[in-house]
Amino acid sequence: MSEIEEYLNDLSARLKVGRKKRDEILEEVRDHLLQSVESLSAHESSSMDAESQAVTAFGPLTLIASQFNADAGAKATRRAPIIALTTGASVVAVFLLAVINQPKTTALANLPQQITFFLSVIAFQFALVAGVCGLSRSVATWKTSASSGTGRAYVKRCITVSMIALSIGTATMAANFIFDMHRGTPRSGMVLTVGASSMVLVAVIGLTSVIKLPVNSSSENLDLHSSHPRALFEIGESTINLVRRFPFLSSLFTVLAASAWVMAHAESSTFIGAFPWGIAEAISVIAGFLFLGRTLGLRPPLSGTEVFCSS
Amino acid sequence: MSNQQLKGHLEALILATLEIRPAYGYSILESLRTSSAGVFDLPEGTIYPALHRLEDAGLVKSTHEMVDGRQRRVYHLVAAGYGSLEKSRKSWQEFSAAVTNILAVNPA
Repeated sequence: MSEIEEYLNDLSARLKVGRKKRDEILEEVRDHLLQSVESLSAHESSSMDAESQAVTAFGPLTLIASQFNADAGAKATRRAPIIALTTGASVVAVFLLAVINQPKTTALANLPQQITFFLSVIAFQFALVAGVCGLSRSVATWKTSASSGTGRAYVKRCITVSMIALSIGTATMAANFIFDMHRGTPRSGMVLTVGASSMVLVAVIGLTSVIKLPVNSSSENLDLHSSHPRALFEIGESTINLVRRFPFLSSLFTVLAASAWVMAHAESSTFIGAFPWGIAEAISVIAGFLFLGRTLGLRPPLSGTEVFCSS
Repeated sequence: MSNQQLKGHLEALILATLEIRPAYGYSILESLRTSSAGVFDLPEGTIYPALHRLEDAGLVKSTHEMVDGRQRRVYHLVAAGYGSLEKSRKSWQEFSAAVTNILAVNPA
Protein backbone atom coordinates (compact mmCIF):
# COMPACT_ATOMS: atom_id res chain seq x y z
CA MET A 1 0.00 0.00 0.00
CA SER A 2 1.34 3.44 -0.90
CA GLU A 3 2.11 5.92 1.82
CA ILE A 4 -0.72 8.14 0.60
CA GLU A 5 -3.29 5.34 0.83
CA GLU A 6 -1.99 4.44 4.28
CA TYR A 7 -2.38 8.08 5.38
CA LEU A 8 -5.91 8.22 3.94
CA ASN A 9 -6.88 5.00 5.71
CA ASP A 10 -5.59 6.29 9.03
CA LEU A 11 -7.36 9.62 8.49
CA SER A 12 -10.57 7.82 7.64
CA ALA A 13 -10.33 5.81 10.87
CA ARG A 14 -9.90 8.97 12.92
CA LEU A 15 -12.67 11.02 11.34
CA LYS A 16 -15.85 11.18 13.39
CA VAL A 17 -18.13 12.58 10.70
CA GLY A 18 -20.94 11.18 8.54
CA ARG A 19 -20.14 8.81 5.66
CA LYS A 20 -20.87 11.34 2.90
CA LYS A 21 -18.71 13.98 4.55
CA ARG A 22 -15.92 11.43 5.13
CA ASP A 23 -15.91 10.46 1.45
CA GLU A 24 -15.78 14.13 0.41
CA ILE A 25 -12.88 14.83 2.75
CA LEU A 26 -10.89 11.78 1.64
CA GLU A 27 -11.44 12.58 -2.04
CA GLU A 28 -10.23 16.12 -1.53
CA VAL A 29 -7.21 15.09 0.53
CA ARG A 30 -6.29 12.41 -2.01
CA ASP A 31 -6.38 14.97 -4.83
CA HIS A 32 -4.20 17.33 -2.79
CA LEU A 33 -1.62 14.68 -1.94
CA LEU A 34 -1.41 13.39 -5.53
CA GLN A 35 -0.97 16.89 -6.82
CA SER A 36 1.68 17.52 -4.22
CA VAL A 37 3.52 14.35 -5.32
CA GLU A 38 3.35 15.44 -8.97
CA SER A 39 4.79 18.80 -8.07
CA LEU A 40 7.57 17.32 -5.92
CA SER A 41 8.44 14.66 -8.52
CA ALA A 42 8.87 17.43 -11.08
CA HIS A 43 11.56 18.83 -8.80
CA GLU A 44 13.74 15.75 -8.89
CA SER A 45 12.38 13.87 -5.89
CA SER A 46 11.94 10.12 -6.31
CA SER A 47 8.38 8.88 -6.22
CA MET A 48 8.79 7.36 -2.74
CA ASP A 49 10.42 10.48 -1.35
CA ALA A 50 7.77 12.66 -2.95
CA GLU A 51 4.96 10.68 -1.28
CA SER A 52 6.68 10.85 2.05
CA GLN A 53 7.27 14.61 1.72
CA ALA A 54 3.70 15.22 0.58
CA VAL A 55 2.27 13.35 3.56
CA THR A 56 4.59 15.14 6.00
CA ALA A 57 3.75 18.55 4.57
CA PHE A 58 0.03 17.81 4.79
CA GLY A 59 0.31 17.68 8.57
CA PRO A 60 0.02 15.24 11.48
CA LEU A 61 -3.04 13.00 11.32
CA THR A 62 -4.16 13.92 14.82
CA LEU A 63 -4.16 17.63 14.01
CA ILE A 64 -6.01 17.34 10.71
CA ALA A 65 -8.58 14.80 11.97
CA SER A 66 -9.22 16.79 15.14
CA GLN A 67 -9.99 19.95 13.16
CA PHE A 68 -12.48 18.15 10.94
CA ASN A 69 -13.99 16.47 14.01
CA ALA A 70 -14.25 19.75 15.86
CA ASP A 71 -16.15 21.22 12.93
CA ALA A 72 -18.57 18.30 12.92
CA GLY A 73 -18.85 18.60 16.72
CA ALA A 74 -19.64 22.29 16.41
CA LYS A 75 -22.55 21.56 14.11
CA ALA A 76 -23.83 18.81 16.36
CA THR A 77 -23.62 21.14 19.36
CA ARG A 78 -25.82 23.68 17.61
CA ARG A 79 -28.42 20.95 17.05
CA ALA A 80 -28.56 20.02 20.77
CA PRO A 81 -30.62 22.97 22.04
CA ILE A 82 -32.88 22.79 18.98
CA ILE A 83 -33.67 19.17 19.84
CA ALA A 84 -34.28 20.15 23.46
CA LEU A 85 -36.64 23.00 22.52
CA THR A 86 -38.57 20.86 20.05
CA THR A 87 -38.89 18.01 22.54
CA GLY A 88 -39.91 20.31 25.39
CA ALA A 89 -42.49 22.12 23.26
CA SER A 90 -43.90 18.80 21.98
CA VAL A 91 -44.24 17.40 25.51
CA VAL A 92 -46.04 20.54 26.69
CA ALA A 93 -48.33 20.44 23.63
CA VAL A 94 -49.21 16.76 24.19
CA PHE A 95 -49.80 17.40 27.89
CA LEU A 96 -52.15 20.29 27.15
CA LEU A 97 -54.01 18.32 24.48
CA ALA A 98 -54.47 15.45 26.94
CA VAL A 99 -55.82 17.52 29.84
CA ILE A 100 -57.35 20.64 28.30
CA ASN A 101 -60.82 19.30 27.62
CA GLN A 102 -61.04 16.92 30.57
CA PRO A 103 -63.95 17.57 32.94
CA LYS A 104 -63.04 19.21 36.27
CA THR A 105 -63.24 17.10 39.38
CA THR A 106 -63.61 18.17 42.98
CA ALA A 107 -62.31 14.89 44.35
CA LEU A 108 -59.11 15.22 46.36
CA ALA A 109 -56.04 13.66 44.79
CA ASN A 110 -54.95 10.45 46.47
CA LEU A 111 -51.45 9.95 47.87
CA PRO A 112 -49.90 8.18 44.83
CA GLN A 113 -51.24 10.99 42.65
CA GLN A 114 -49.78 13.66 44.90
CA ILE A 115 -46.41 11.93 44.99
CA THR A 116 -46.20 11.40 41.22
CA PHE A 117 -47.37 14.95 40.55
CA PHE A 118 -44.76 16.38 42.91
CA LEU A 119 -41.99 14.20 41.43
CA SER A 120 -42.91 15.23 37.91
CA VAL A 121 -42.89 18.92 38.88
CA ILE A 122 -39.39 18.53 40.34
CA ALA A 123 -38.21 16.64 37.26
CA PHE A 124 -39.64 19.30 34.94
CA GLN A 125 -37.84 21.98 36.96
CA PHE A 126 -34.57 20.12 36.59
CA ALA A 127 -35.24 19.76 32.87
CA LEU A 128 -35.96 23.47 32.57
CA VAL A 129 -32.89 24.63 34.48
CA ALA A 130 -30.50 22.27 32.70
CA GLY A 131 -32.09 23.07 29.34
CA VAL A 132 -31.77 26.80 29.92
CA CYS A 133 -28.10 26.33 30.86
CA GLY A 134 -27.34 24.48 27.61
CA LEU A 135 -29.52 26.71 25.47
CA SER A 136 -28.22 29.98 26.86
CA ARG A 137 -24.57 28.93 26.53
CA SER A 138 -25.23 27.76 23.00
CA VAL A 139 -26.99 30.98 21.99
CA ALA A 140 -24.40 33.17 23.73
CA THR A 141 -21.64 31.71 21.64
CA TRP A 142 -23.46 30.40 18.58
CA LYS A 143 -20.54 30.97 16.24
CA THR A 144 -17.54 30.61 18.49
CA SER A 145 -18.16 28.46 21.56
CA ALA A 146 -18.26 25.28 19.61
CA SER A 147 -14.64 25.84 18.69
CA SER A 148 -13.85 24.83 22.24
CA GLY A 149 -14.18 21.14 22.98
CA THR A 150 -15.01 21.87 26.62
CA GLY A 151 -17.77 24.25 25.49
CA ARG A 152 -19.28 21.58 23.28
CA ALA A 153 -19.12 18.98 26.05
CA TYR A 154 -20.77 21.43 28.46
CA VAL A 155 -23.72 22.12 26.13
CA LYS A 156 -24.24 18.41 25.48
CA ARG A 157 -24.04 17.61 29.21
CA CYS A 158 -26.67 20.25 30.03
CA ILE A 159 -29.05 19.13 27.32
CA THR A 160 -28.58 15.45 28.17
CA VAL A 161 -29.40 16.12 31.85
CA SER A 162 -32.38 18.15 30.70
CA MET A 163 -33.68 15.33 28.49
CA ILE A 164 -33.17 12.72 31.23
CA ALA A 165 -35.12 14.90 33.65
CA LEU A 166 -37.82 15.46 31.03
CA SER A 167 -38.12 11.71 30.47
CA ILE A 168 -38.44 11.09 34.21
CA GLY A 169 -40.96 13.95 34.44
CA THR A 170 -43.11 12.53 31.65
CA ALA A 171 -42.92 9.01 33.11
CA THR A 172 -44.09 10.21 36.54
CA MET A 173 -46.76 12.37 34.89
CA ALA A 174 -47.92 9.30 32.97
CA ALA A 175 -48.12 7.41 36.27
CA ASN A 176 -50.14 10.33 37.64
CA PHE A 177 -52.59 9.99 34.73
CA ILE A 178 -52.92 6.26 35.42
CA PHE A 179 -53.66 6.86 39.13
CA ASP A 180 -56.18 9.50 38.06
CA MET A 181 -57.99 6.98 35.83
CA HIS A 182 -58.12 4.44 38.65
CA ARG A 183 -59.88 6.66 41.14
CA GLY A 184 -63.08 6.89 39.17
CA THR A 185 -62.93 10.47 37.86
CA PRO A 186 -65.08 11.21 34.81
CA ARG A 187 -61.99 11.83 32.67
CA SER A 188 -61.38 10.08 29.38
CA GLY A 189 -59.06 7.16 30.01
CA MET A 190 -58.28 6.79 26.32
CA VAL A 191 -57.15 10.42 25.93
CA LEU A 192 -55.05 10.24 29.09
CA THR A 193 -53.44 6.95 28.03
CA VAL A 194 -52.59 8.20 24.55
CA GLY A 195 -51.36 11.52 26.00
CA ALA A 196 -49.20 9.82 28.64
CA SER A 197 -47.60 7.37 26.21
CA SER A 198 -47.00 10.10 23.63
CA MET A 199 -45.29 12.32 26.20
CA VAL A 200 -42.96 9.53 27.30
CA LEU A 201 -42.23 8.56 23.70
CA VAL A 202 -41.40 12.13 22.65
CA ALA A 203 -39.12 12.63 25.66
CA VAL A 204 -37.26 9.35 25.05
CA ILE A 205 -36.80 10.20 21.36
CA GLY A 206 -35.37 13.58 22.40
CA LEU A 207 -33.02 11.94 24.90
CA THR A 208 -31.82 9.35 22.36
CA SER A 209 -31.22 12.04 19.73
CA VAL A 210 -29.13 14.12 22.11
CA ILE A 211 -27.07 11.15 23.33
CA LYS A 212 -26.27 10.25 19.71
CA LEU A 213 -25.04 13.75 18.85
CA PRO A 214 -21.36 13.50 17.90
CA VAL A 215 -20.01 16.58 19.67
CA ASN A 216 -16.67 14.73 19.65
CA SER A 217 -13.75 14.86 22.01
CA SER A 218 -13.39 17.77 24.37
CA SER A 219 -9.74 18.03 23.37
CA GLU A 220 -10.63 18.74 19.75
CA ASN A 221 -10.62 22.48 19.39
CA LEU A 222 -10.84 24.71 16.37
CA ASP A 223 -8.23 27.35 15.78
CA LEU A 224 -10.52 30.32 15.95
CA HIS A 225 -10.38 33.62 17.69
CA SER A 226 -13.30 33.81 20.04
CA SER A 227 -15.52 36.56 21.27
CA HIS A 228 -16.72 37.02 24.82
CA PRO A 229 -19.93 35.18 25.59
CA ARG A 230 -22.82 37.60 25.91
CA ALA A 231 -23.80 37.78 29.57
CA LEU A 232 -27.46 38.36 28.73
CA PHE A 233 -27.70 34.92 27.23
CA GLU A 234 -25.91 33.08 30.03
CA ILE A 235 -29.22 32.93 31.86
CA GLY A 236 -28.94 29.38 33.15
CA GLU A 237 -25.43 29.68 34.54
CA SER A 238 -26.18 33.13 35.98
CA THR A 239 -29.25 31.77 37.76
CA ILE A 240 -27.31 28.90 39.28
CA ASN A 241 -24.63 31.32 40.46
CA LEU A 242 -27.24 33.74 41.82
CA VAL A 243 -28.97 31.03 43.84
CA ARG A 244 -25.64 29.83 45.20
CA ARG A 245 -24.65 33.36 46.19
CA PHE A 246 -28.00 34.43 47.72
CA PRO A 247 -29.71 31.22 48.89
CA PHE A 248 -31.93 32.97 51.46
CA LEU A 249 -33.24 35.69 49.15
CA SER A 250 -33.70 33.19 46.33
CA SER A 251 -35.66 30.89 48.65
CA LEU A 252 -37.87 33.76 49.86
CA PHE A 253 -38.59 34.89 46.32
CA THR A 254 -39.43 31.35 45.23
CA VAL A 255 -41.70 30.73 48.23
CA LEU A 256 -43.66 33.92 47.49
CA ALA A 257 -43.82 33.27 43.75
CA ALA A 258 -44.88 29.66 44.18
CA SER A 259 -47.49 30.57 46.80
CA ALA A 260 -48.95 33.20 44.48
CA TRP A 261 -49.03 30.64 41.67
CA VAL A 262 -50.81 28.09 43.87
CA MET A 263 -53.37 30.74 44.91
CA ALA A 264 -53.95 31.78 41.31
CA HIS A 265 -54.69 28.20 40.37
CA ALA A 266 -57.22 27.77 43.18
CA GLU A 267 -55.50 24.88 44.88
CA SER A 268 -55.78 27.11 47.92
CA SER A 269 -57.75 30.32 48.10
CA THR A 270 -55.67 32.00 50.81
CA PHE A 271 -52.03 32.94 50.99
CA ILE A 272 -51.60 31.06 54.30
CA GLY A 273 -53.13 27.96 52.74
CA ALA A 274 -50.86 28.24 49.73
CA PHE A 275 -47.72 28.90 51.80
CA PRO A 276 -46.79 25.23 52.50
CA TRP A 277 -47.01 24.51 48.77
CA GLY A 278 -44.76 27.49 48.20
CA ILE A 279 -42.20 26.21 50.71
CA ALA A 280 -42.25 22.74 49.15
CA GLU A 281 -41.83 24.25 45.73
CA ALA A 282 -38.98 26.48 46.92
CA ILE A 283 -37.14 23.56 48.51
CA SER A 284 -37.32 21.62 45.26
CA VAL A 285 -36.23 24.60 43.17
CA ILE A 286 -33.30 25.61 45.39
CA ALA A 287 -32.18 22.01 45.88
CA GLY A 288 -32.50 21.57 42.14
CA PHE A 289 -30.29 24.54 41.36
CA LEU A 290 -27.65 23.61 43.95
CA PHE A 291 -27.70 19.96 42.97
CA LEU A 292 -27.55 20.70 39.26
CA GLY A 293 -24.77 23.18 39.66
CA ARG A 294 -22.50 21.06 41.80
CA THR A 295 -23.31 17.42 41.27
CA LEU A 296 -24.32 17.27 37.65
CA GLY A 297 -21.52 19.54 36.52
CA LEU A 298 -23.72 22.17 34.93
CA ARG A 299 -21.48 24.97 36.05
CA PRO A 300 -19.28 26.01 33.16
CA PRO A 301 -15.87 24.32 33.17
CA LEU A 302 -13.99 27.60 33.18
CA SER A 303 -15.16 31.16 33.48
CA GLY A 304 -15.54 33.72 30.71
CA THR A 305 -13.12 33.80 27.87
CA GLU A 306 -10.87 31.05 29.23
CA VAL A 307 -13.40 28.52 28.05
CA PHE A 308 -13.41 29.88 24.57
CA CYS A 309 -9.74 30.44 24.05
CA SER A 310 -8.60 27.01 25.03
CA SER A 311 -7.44 25.90 21.62
CA MET B 1 5.28 33.29 11.14
CA SER B 2 4.09 30.83 13.74
CA ASN B 3 0.86 28.94 13.23
CA GLN B 4 -0.37 30.48 16.46
CA GLN B 5 -0.22 33.94 14.88
CA LEU B 6 -2.21 32.73 11.89
CA LYS B 7 -5.12 31.63 14.08
CA GLY B 8 -8.25 33.54 13.26
CA HIS B 9 -6.73 35.06 10.12
CA LEU B 10 -6.61 31.97 7.96
CA GLU B 11 -10.24 32.30 6.88
CA ALA B 12 -9.73 35.93 5.85
CA LEU B 13 -6.57 35.03 3.95
CA ILE B 14 -8.43 32.30 2.08
CA LEU B 15 -11.25 34.69 1.22
CA ALA B 16 -8.73 37.22 -0.08
CA THR B 17 -7.13 34.54 -2.25
CA LEU B 18 -10.50 33.49 -3.64
CA GLU B 19 -11.36 37.09 -4.39
CA ILE B 20 -8.81 37.01 -7.21
CA ARG B 21 -10.24 33.87 -8.80
CA PRO B 22 -11.93 30.58 -7.88
CA ALA B 23 -9.39 28.04 -6.69
CA TYR B 24 -8.93 24.61 -5.11
CA GLY B 25 -7.12 23.78 -1.87
CA TYR B 26 -3.67 23.11 -3.30
CA SER B 27 -3.66 26.24 -5.46
CA ILE B 28 -4.88 28.39 -2.54
CA LEU B 29 -1.91 27.17 -0.49
CA GLU B 30 0.47 27.91 -3.34
CA SER B 31 -0.96 31.43 -3.64
CA LEU B 32 -0.63 32.01 0.10
CA ARG B 33 2.96 30.80 0.05
CA THR B 34 3.88 32.91 -2.95
CA SER B 35 2.07 36.06 -1.80
CA SER B 36 3.61 35.84 1.65
CA ALA B 37 7.08 35.07 0.25
CA GLY B 38 7.08 31.78 2.14
CA VAL B 39 6.22 33.33 5.52
CA PHE B 40 2.91 31.45 5.78
CA ASP B 41 3.98 27.85 5.91
CA LEU B 42 1.26 26.06 7.81
CA PRO B 43 0.50 22.30 7.74
CA GLU B 44 -1.18 22.00 4.35
CA GLY B 45 -4.08 19.93 5.60
CA THR B 46 -5.32 22.64 7.96
CA ILE B 47 -6.63 24.63 5.00
CA TYR B 48 -9.40 22.10 4.29
CA PRO B 49 -11.27 22.32 7.61
CA ALA B 50 -11.09 26.11 7.18
CA LEU B 51 -12.49 25.88 3.63
CA HIS B 52 -15.32 23.65 4.83
CA ARG B 53 -16.12 26.08 7.64
CA LEU B 54 -16.30 28.93 5.14
CA GLU B 55 -18.63 26.90 2.97
CA ASP B 56 -20.83 25.99 5.94
CA ALA B 57 -20.98 29.67 6.84
CA GLY B 58 -22.18 30.47 3.32
CA LEU B 59 -19.14 32.58 2.46
CA VAL B 60 -17.85 30.33 -0.32
CA LYS B 61 -19.42 27.76 -2.60
CA SER B 62 -17.74 24.70 -4.05
CA THR B 63 -18.17 22.92 -7.36
CA HIS B 64 -16.62 19.71 -8.61
CA GLU B 65 -14.47 19.41 -11.70
CA MET B 66 -12.88 16.36 -13.28
CA VAL B 67 -9.12 16.85 -13.72
CA ASP B 68 -6.89 13.97 -14.87
CA GLY B 69 -9.60 11.50 -13.87
CA ARG B 70 -9.76 12.94 -10.36
CA GLN B 71 -12.59 14.88 -8.72
CA ARG B 72 -11.36 18.34 -7.81
CA ARG B 73 -13.30 20.64 -5.50
CA VAL B 74 -13.08 24.26 -6.61
CA TYR B 75 -14.13 27.05 -4.26
CA HIS B 76 -15.77 30.31 -5.35
CA LEU B 77 -16.36 33.42 -3.28
CA VAL B 78 -20.04 34.38 -2.98
CA ALA B 79 -21.68 37.71 -2.09
CA ALA B 80 -21.62 37.08 1.67
CA GLY B 81 -17.93 36.18 1.36
CA TYR B 82 -17.12 39.52 -0.24
CA GLY B 83 -18.90 41.26 2.64
CA SER B 84 -17.04 39.22 5.24
CA LEU B 85 -13.73 39.93 3.52
CA GLU B 86 -14.38 43.66 3.60
CA LYS B 87 -15.11 43.47 7.33
CA SER B 88 -11.93 41.47 7.93
CA ARG B 89 -9.90 43.99 5.97
CA LYS B 90 -11.27 46.91 7.96
CA SER B 91 -10.76 45.14 11.27
CA TRP B 92 -7.20 44.14 10.34
CA GLN B 93 -6.32 47.68 9.25
CA GLU B 94 -7.51 49.07 12.59
CA PHE B 95 -5.71 46.38 14.53
CA SER B 96 -2.43 46.59 12.62
CA ALA B 97 -2.44 50.40 12.78
CA ALA B 98 -2.86 50.25 16.55
CA VAL B 99 -0.10 47.67 16.99
CA THR B 100 2.21 49.61 14.69
CA ASN B 101 1.61 52.80 16.66
CA ILE B 102 2.50 51.10 19.91
CA LEU B 103 5.47 49.14 18.65
CA ALA B 104 6.86 52.17 16.82
CA VAL B 105 7.39 54.03 20.09
CA ASN B 106 11.04 53.86 21.06
CA PRO B 107 11.69 55.49 24.44
CA ALA B 108 15.42 55.53 23.79
